[in-house]
Amino acid sequence: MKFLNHLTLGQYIPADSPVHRLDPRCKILSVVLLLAGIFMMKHPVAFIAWGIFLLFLSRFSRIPFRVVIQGARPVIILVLFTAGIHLFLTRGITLWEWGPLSVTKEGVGMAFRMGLRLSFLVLFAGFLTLTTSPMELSDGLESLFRPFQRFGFPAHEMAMMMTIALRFIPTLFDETDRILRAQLARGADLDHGGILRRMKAFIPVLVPLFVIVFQRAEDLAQAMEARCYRGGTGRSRMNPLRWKRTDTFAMAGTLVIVAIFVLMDLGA
Amino acid sequence: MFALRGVSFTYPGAVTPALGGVELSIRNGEWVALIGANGSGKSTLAKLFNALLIPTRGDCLVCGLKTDNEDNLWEIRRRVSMVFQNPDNQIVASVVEEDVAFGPENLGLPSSEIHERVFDCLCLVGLEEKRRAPTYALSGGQKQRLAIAGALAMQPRCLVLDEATAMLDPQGREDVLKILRDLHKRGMTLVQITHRLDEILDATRVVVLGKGKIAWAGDLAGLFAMRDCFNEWGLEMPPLVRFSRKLQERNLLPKACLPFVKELLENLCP
Ligand SMILES: Nc1ncnc2c1ncn2[C@@H]1O[C@H](COP(=O)(O)OP(=O)(O)OP(=O)(O)O)[C@@H](O)[C@H]1O
Ligand SMILES: [Mg+2]
Repeated sequence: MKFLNHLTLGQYIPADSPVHRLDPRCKILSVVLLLAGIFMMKHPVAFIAWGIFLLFLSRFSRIPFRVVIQGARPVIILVLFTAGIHLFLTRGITLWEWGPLSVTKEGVGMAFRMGLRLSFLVLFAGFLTLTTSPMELSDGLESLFRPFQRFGFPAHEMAMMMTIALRFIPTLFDETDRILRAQLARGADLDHGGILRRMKAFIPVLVPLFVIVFQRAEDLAQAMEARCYRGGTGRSRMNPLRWKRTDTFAMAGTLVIVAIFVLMDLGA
Repeated sequence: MFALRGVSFTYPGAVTPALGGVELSIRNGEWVALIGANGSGKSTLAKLFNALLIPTRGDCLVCGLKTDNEDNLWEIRRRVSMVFQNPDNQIVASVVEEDVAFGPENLGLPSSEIHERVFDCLCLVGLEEKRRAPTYALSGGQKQRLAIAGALAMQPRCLVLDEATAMLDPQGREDVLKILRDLHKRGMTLVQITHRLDEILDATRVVVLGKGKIAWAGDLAGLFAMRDCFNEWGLEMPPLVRFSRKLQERNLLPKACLPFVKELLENLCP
C-alpha cells in the first residue's frame, strides 16, 4: 500500500504550509530559477549560502529535513559516479597516482563542485514534488505550456496523459501480478537460467499485459467520450489555479535570492 | 426519451450485423430492463442510446435529437449517461472527488457548481466520506458506485447501465440496486442491462434481445409467463419462479407468481 501510495501520489506530503499553498505555476517557475542559479554556483561560500537556504526552505514548508534528504537517495549513485569521473579525469597538478589513475588538485575541486551541484539540484527540485500534488503539478504545467499550444504543442493532452498514467499505474501492477501468478501456476519458470532464458520466460507475461492495456485504453476512451470529454477546449476545472499576491511575492523573493547568490559567487 | 426506428448496426469489418431492424421506444421515467444471451447485441444497443455508436441503417432519436448529427452529440451525452461493466476502465482520476468532477469539468461548468454537484452525487451513492481517498483503494462495489456518481454528476435524464453489477458481490449489487430504486423514484429514466433476472424485479418493462433483434417486450408478469422461450433466449428462470410453477402444477398454488417471496407467501397461505 505504501509503495502504491508512493507511485500514485508521487512524493507529495500533504501539509498546511505557505509553500504548499503557493500556486503550482509559481513553484515550477521558482524551481527553474533556483536550478539555473545552482548551475552557476562555484565558490565554497555560495555552497554554504545555498545550504542555509535549503534548511530555511525545509523549515518553511514544514517538510522535515530528513524527508528532503530521503527523497534524494535514489540519485546518490549518480552523484558519486559524476564526482568520481571528475575526480579521476580532470587534468592538472597531480596529487596522487596509481597506475593509469591519477587524482589532481583541480579534480578534487571539480568532484566536490559537481557532486554538490547535482545534490543541490535534486534536493531543491524535490521541494516541488514534496509540496505539490500530482494533480496540481499537471494543472500547473498545462497552464504554463498553454501559450505554446498555438504552435501545436499538446499542453492539455500532456496533462491529461499524466493524470491517466498516474491513475492506471496501480491497476497495471495488479494486472501484472495476476498474469504472473497465472503463468506461474501453469508451470512457467521465471527465475532460473540465464538472463536470456529468463527474458524469454517473461514473454507470456508481457503479451497478455499488452492486450489488456489496449483493451482498457479503448474502454477508457469510450467512457471518457460518454462523459462528454472532447479535449481541452471548453473544459473548466473544479479547483482552478489562482495566482495570488503571495505568489508574486514568492516569485520576486526567489528572483532576488538567486540574483544575490549568483552575484556573490561572481564577486568572490 | 428514446425512439429507434428500424435500427441496424454492423461493426466495421464484421459480416453479420450486431443489430438488425430494431424498433423500440422508451418513455421518460421508465425503468427498462434489457436482457438477452451473450452476444445478442445488448451492449451495442446501449451504445446507440448514447451516440457512442451511430446506426448503420435507421434512425435513433434521443429526446428528439438524431444521433447521427455531430452537432447533437454534446446534448445527447449530457442527457444520457452510461455506466459500464468494469468500473476500473471508467475511472479517470486518482482521487475520488476529482473523478466525479471529470464530467462537469468537460461541460465547462463554474467551479462552485462543480463542487456542489460532486458533493451531492457522492452523498447520493454514499461515498461522501471517501471523497479525498485514492480511487485504487476503493472496493469493487465502491468503485462502481463512484462510476455511478460520475455519471450522475452530468445531471442526465437517463442512466444506461451495461451490466454494472456483473463484477459485484451480493452486497455491492444490492447497494447499486438501492441507488437505482432511488433514482427511479425521482423520475430518472433507467435502462438496465443484466444477465440476472433477480435484478430486474423493479423494472417497469422488460425487453429481450436475441441475435440482434427484439425477441420479446412486455412487463414482468408477461416475461415469466413465457417460460417456453427462456431456453431459446439463453436465459434462466429464477429458482423462485420455477418453484412456484412446480407448486402450481401440483395444485398447491392457485397461480404461478413472480419471483417475490412476499407474493409467493401470500398465494400460499392467503
Ligand atoms: N468492437 C466490436 N467489433 C466487432 N464486432 C463486435 C464488437 N463488439 C461486439 N461485436 C459483436 O457484436 C455482437 C453483439 O455484441 P454485444 O457486445 O452487443 O453483445 P452483448 O449482448 O452485450 O453480449 P454480452 O452479454 O457478452 O455483453 C456480437 O456478435 C459480437 O461479437
Ligand atoms: Mg455486453
